[in-house]
Formats: sequence, structure tokens, C-alpha cells
Amino acid sequence: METKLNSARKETSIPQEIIFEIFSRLPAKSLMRFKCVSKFCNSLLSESDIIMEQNSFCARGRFYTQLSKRKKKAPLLQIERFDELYDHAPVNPRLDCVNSLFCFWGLSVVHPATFNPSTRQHWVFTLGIDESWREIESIFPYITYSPGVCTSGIIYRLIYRYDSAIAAFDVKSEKFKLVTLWDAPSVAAKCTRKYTRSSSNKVIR
Amino acid sequence: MAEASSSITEKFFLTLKSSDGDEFVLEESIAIQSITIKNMVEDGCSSSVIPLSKVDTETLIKVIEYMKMHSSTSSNEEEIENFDKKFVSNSINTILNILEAANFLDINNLLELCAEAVANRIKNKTPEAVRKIFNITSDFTPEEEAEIRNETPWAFEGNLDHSLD
Repeated sequence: METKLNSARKETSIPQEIIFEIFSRLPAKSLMRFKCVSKFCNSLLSESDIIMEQNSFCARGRFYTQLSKRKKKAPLLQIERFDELYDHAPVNPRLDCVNSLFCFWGLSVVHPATFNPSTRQHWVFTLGIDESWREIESIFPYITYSPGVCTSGIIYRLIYRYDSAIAAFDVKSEKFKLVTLWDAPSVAAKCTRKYTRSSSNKVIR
Repeated sequence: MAEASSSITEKFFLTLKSSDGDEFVLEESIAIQSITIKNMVEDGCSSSVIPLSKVDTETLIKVIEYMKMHSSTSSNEEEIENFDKKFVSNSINTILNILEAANFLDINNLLELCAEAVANRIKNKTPEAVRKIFNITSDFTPEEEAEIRNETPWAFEGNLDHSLD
């Protein structure tokens, strides 16, 4: 090392575009914490594309980090760090997202009894509202298949319980419906119509 | 036109001048990793010294080190990876200076490397530490700051890092 280690920063503060570059690579927990750094940071993190960027990645059914330029994939990690779910989650957790709300699906046939998220069935996280993943009323033990499909505010996912079926999770009401396969189109259509009729959308910040 | 054929193998050199007045001679093919410099070369501004008024000597040395490693055809992927790893182990202030230079010089790879490194270093830090590192003065009243903290108390849980590096 031919240069000194303790190089001094210039007196000026870091340019805003550089703060953006750095912040856009941070996990959500850090972003929320750094809102109180300054008014600029607060508005950057409240209104800017940084949060949106994370959402848009999720909305396509895939979970990238926000390292958009490098197109690096880091499935789920950014989202799980909201509450260290990563420490508990199964190796390949199933996660879906609609309108900033993340739904975490259990991996296998389990009973919602213990605290470990991997043994629970349905966890949701509303971005900007929830403090941590919270458990919601779930249906029955079942096996899920990946991937799910998100449309019109409802997450559909193929599951196996006695027989193959589709679980429909209405993001707005946080209610599940089980759609047996032979009846799938009509019931799914009902679910969708019900959702689109209601106008309010509580899941968005 | 006769000279044109010889220019194929000929190396061009540029002289970069730091804000401290130090001059560095660098092969053009290496220097044009910087889009800012590349544009200057294309605009014909490179015949004399290129002044980089926003980059001090220490930072420019680092940037040149980086460009040399990343343009060299002899360095393999593993070498570059090890170089990058060592590169971002510099002090956070040094990395921030390089990040600013990379932004000014428009060297995208370097900007990404440094932005990611800084993000990694600050992700567990307290807002106070981030303020000091970024040299930002809070413009919140204590009440406003408390209100924002109360919006997401979970973001302040766990072992937060108070250090400034």
C-alpha cells in the first residue's frame, strides 16, 4: 500500500446522486433506519424509485436485489432481512408479492403450531406498514408448488392436499380460498370479480 | 495517409492531472474506461494535459490502479476478483472519494463496486454514524426525528454498528 490508510474526507458532504447509488443497494431494514439521517434521505426513501425498484422486481414474480445495473440475482434475501426471517426460513421459501404485500408460503405439510416461520403456513408483510411478518388465518396443511401467479390482487398457487388444487389468496381481505381443479375457472373468476369490485387498496403505503 | 498503417500498433498516451497538480501518464486504451475521458479524447481535447479538478492525487492513484487491472488482457478473472476484494477493503472515506471520482469520470464498474462496498459497510450502522460518514448534518427537529423513528421501530432493533469505518 503506497497510500496512507486514513485519508480524510473532503469537507463537503456526499453528492445526492451518490447517496442514491449507495442506498439503492441497501436492504429495506437499513433504508427505513436511514430515513432519519436527514430530510433529503427521508424524501429519497419515501418517494423515490428505490423502494419502487424493489417492488417492481417482486411484482414480476422474481426476487432480485435492487442491484439493477449488474443484474445480479439474490433471491429473497433483501426481503427476508426485514425481520431476519432468513435465519428461520426454509432453504427455498416460497414468496409471492402483490402491491407491496409479500406473502410467505410454508414449504411442506406442517401444522401452524410453533414459532419457527418455516413450520407456519402463511405469513404476510405489508411494506411500510407491518413491523414484521405476521401470521394470518390459514387454511389446511398442504404442499405448495412453485411458482405462484399474481393477478388482480390475488395470488394463485397450485397446491396438493388429498388432490391437486389451487389456493387463491386474496391480498386485500387476506383470506384464502381453495379452488378444486375441475371447478377452477368459475371459482377463480368469482374471486377476481369480487376483488376488482372493491375500490380501496390498503396494502399500498 | 501513409502513417495510418503504423498507428495500428502505436500506443497513445494521455496525461491526467489531479487536483493537487500531480500528473500521471496513462495509456489511452486504459484511460478511456472513463467515459468522461473517452468523450474528451473523441472531442479532440486530449492533446494536452487533461485536468481532473475533482480528483485528488491519492484517489487518482487508486482509480488508475483499478483501470490498469481491469483493462489488462493478462489479468484473469480470479486476479481481478482478488484485486477488487482488496480494493474495497480500503477505509470507507477512501472508497467514498473513489466513488465520487468514479461518478465524475463515469467509470460504471468502479462506481458499482464502490457503491456496493459502501452499502455493505453501512447497512448495520446507526443513522448517527451514517451522518458522520457522509458528512451530513441532520435538518430534523428532535420531534420530527422521533416521529420517523416511531414509524418503523423494527428498523432500529438488533446490534447496530456505531463505528465510522
